[in-house]
Amino acid sequence: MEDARSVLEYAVAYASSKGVRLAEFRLEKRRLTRIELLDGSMATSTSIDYGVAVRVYANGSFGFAYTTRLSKEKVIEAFEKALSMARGSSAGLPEPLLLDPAEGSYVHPVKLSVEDVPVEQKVSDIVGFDKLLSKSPAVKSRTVVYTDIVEEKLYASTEERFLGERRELAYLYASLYGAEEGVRGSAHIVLGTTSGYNIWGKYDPEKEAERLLTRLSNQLRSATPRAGVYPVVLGPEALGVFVHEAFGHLAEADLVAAGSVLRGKRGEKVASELVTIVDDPFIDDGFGTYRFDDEGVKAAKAVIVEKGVHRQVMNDRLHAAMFGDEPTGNARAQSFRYPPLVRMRNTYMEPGDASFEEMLEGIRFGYYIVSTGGGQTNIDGSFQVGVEEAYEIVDGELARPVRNLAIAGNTLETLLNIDMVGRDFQLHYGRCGKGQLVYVSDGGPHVRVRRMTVGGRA
Amino acid sequence: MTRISPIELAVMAVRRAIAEGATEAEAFVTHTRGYTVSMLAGRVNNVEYSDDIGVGVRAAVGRRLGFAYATGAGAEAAAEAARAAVKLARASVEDPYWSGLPEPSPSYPLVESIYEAGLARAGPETLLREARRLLSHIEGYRDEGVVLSRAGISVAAVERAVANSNGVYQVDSGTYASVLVSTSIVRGGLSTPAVFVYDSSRVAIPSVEAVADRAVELSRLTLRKAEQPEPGKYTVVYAPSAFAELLEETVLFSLRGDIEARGRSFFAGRLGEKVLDERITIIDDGALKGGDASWRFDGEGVASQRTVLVDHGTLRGFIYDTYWGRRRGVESTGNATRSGYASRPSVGFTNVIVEPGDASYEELLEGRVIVVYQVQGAHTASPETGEYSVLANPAVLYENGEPRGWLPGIVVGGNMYRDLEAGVEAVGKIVEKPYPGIQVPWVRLSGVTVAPKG
Repeated sequence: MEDARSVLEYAVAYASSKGVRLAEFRLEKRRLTRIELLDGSMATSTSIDYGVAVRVYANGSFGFAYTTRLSKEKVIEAFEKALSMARGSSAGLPEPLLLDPAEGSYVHPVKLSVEDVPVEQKVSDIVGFDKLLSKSPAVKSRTVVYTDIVEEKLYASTEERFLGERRELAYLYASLYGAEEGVRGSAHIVLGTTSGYNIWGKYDPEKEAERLLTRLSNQLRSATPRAGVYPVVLGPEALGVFVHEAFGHLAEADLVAAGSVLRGKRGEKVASELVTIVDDPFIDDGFGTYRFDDEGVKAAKAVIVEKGVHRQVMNDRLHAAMFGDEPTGNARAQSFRYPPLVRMRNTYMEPGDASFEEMLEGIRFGYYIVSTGGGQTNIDGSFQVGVEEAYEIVDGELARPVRNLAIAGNTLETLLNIDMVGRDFQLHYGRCGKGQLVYVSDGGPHVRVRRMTVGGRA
Repeated sequence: MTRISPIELAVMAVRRAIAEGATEAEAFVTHTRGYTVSMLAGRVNNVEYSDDIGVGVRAAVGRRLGFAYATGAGAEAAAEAARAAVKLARASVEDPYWSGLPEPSPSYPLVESIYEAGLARAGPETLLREARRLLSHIEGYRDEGVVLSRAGISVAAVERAVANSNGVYQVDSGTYASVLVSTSIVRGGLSTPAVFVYDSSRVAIPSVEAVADRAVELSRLTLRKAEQPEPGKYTVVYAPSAFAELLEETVLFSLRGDIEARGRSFFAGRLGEKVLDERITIIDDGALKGGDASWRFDGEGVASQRTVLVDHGTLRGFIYDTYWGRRRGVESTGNATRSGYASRPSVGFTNVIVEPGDASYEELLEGRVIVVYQVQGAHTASPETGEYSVLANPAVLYENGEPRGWLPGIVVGGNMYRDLEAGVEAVGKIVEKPYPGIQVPWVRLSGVTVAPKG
């Protein structure tokens, strides 16, 4: 992206000559390959998404514009547009954090670049995986979608920060719909890696197919849950969704400013002392692993809860300045088409020392929740997480699988009710929507919650 | 530099794909220009301008298919997308069901009220003026503790063009404006849940005051708490936002022709049968006057139309694009939707209309009922079985039409297919559009499972 660099240098020099406090340029190129198999019928797509985003802070306001045409003239035009919008809006925002000059470029290492693997190979791997799923007679319909993305970004600002980063993401989503003796159900799995074309190196296709088929067959043979309040053991995948959806969003600085329940709770006990929750940009093979965010801020770990006490929120430049906090580098944008927002990266609960068996002990009746269909939270701290794979716990033992139920409650009350944290750990992959989609990871160990609302459906 | 028009760009891409060896090709071009003003925590936090043009190409080499898109408005974007689509088609596996791109439709509707020149010209000053009016209007509720959690005002002008190697050649222009307001009330350090109210129009910016007033009204209902209910079955009234979300994840899923063809629809094989309560009629209308999703043609150039899917409870049809229609031996219903040049066409709804019933508010709220205004987690409902279990937030207990207080944290659950067939007590006569592209009435259902807050 040599020419790109010269366009950005020109734009930075131009913006500086206009005397703005801060102008940022994000040049981004994303190459995407997507292979979709619907019951064996294939649709493939590729794209190159290329553009420049411009954000200007002036007159207490942000103006944002972008262009998909990469000439000096078009970038300057976008800059002028963003500048005039910022000047015209007098929003009274505090000055965002300003940083020192910096220069750097980082290429995340991969085992084998997705760009060095012919599409034919990816197609044949997906077809092979799909075949494994088609074996069970209970399966009536299959969806398998493979996506890989090569992300190249160049950030430049009037602070003389020039930062480049390249990473690869590969993502596989598979879902099955089945029916057996009049009972219908569906199940899904998500696999991911940032280590290039390594999805079938990291995951064994046979094992993953088996995992998905088991999940489906449980759905078809499961009992209906009882609605009520019960002890619940959450597995790492379900906990990851809880930590992200129910808790993480409440600790995003923009939502804290908008009145989330974590507002004003810094230094207070918000969870059981067994609980430590972090948002970590450094973890190996995470979808939220990066060096610099989309505001050119060096990524730092955000310790949201430490032994039950709320310590940090995840922030961007504006909110770091607003709250007088250290920057965490959580500003992310879906693409050059969007201004960055405060977003999560790899959010997880740190392991403790309990074993799974210890958690089950002493539960006369409860539920063990393995995987979910996602969840949703409100800034008042209420959450809902829909469950896909779950089992009854009866007299300290795992019992029948149960049909998709849901858990709900108040996040902080739930965190206070955690009485055991497991010593295991898993990371899972997904995408998070907050008006824009970004790739994230989440996870943690097994945990036990003393009481939780379980919603039945029937 | 002379500007290449969207339809010229589409034609160039189709020609290029054929020259590269495609047996069939289609190009879809969108050019979107617009502004958005966002507000967060009571002030403007961003003003955005977007100018997005690109071309998406579908190419077939025999029965093998590829799709690619490129950003930009030049001949090179068209060539790049065409080349990539053909290359990909060659690398793909054969789809035995592929039976070609659509032919031009015999006629195309003239859709009314989807373009307004004034709106197309609206600039950031106009939006900022509206934003200031909204902020000052909310300021008027300061004594009550009302805070604007977030808000957004957007305007956009969109040009759409599609061309294919069978002679489809269509252009359309539209405008769009929307207002979203989310409020909560903060008193004594406690915050009510954030509520979201939305309005949109194809021809004018909706009244920001009216949207704000609806949000505040909803927030006020959550100031006083009612006692938590015992777990059990209750009569529940779903407001349009909650009803639309649950409907979308279940009933509408099963009315998709691709889902039906894949054997996943709950309604598969039941055409002509009574599948829902006779007070329920569901229509998809891509040519609806002023509709959020109204256009003259769909994402592959097939004429938009009105399709009755459920008529007084009886299943009349499904929505199809060309591919899935042909797989089922029926015509496309003009439901190949795409969000822009960057997406392949897929079966999707345009404007969904659930027709009003005959119940007044008094009748809906008669006796002791739980009114669910919004839900969290509707996307976790099971489309195959209709089962759902979601957080009702906010939900309010009513007795004889009087609100008795908020029920924080309750979970409501049931089965949308079963409850809409056998559990409908009343369908309201007022229809609302809770979010883009869907209009539904209030509905009163019996036997909904309610779990109290843990």
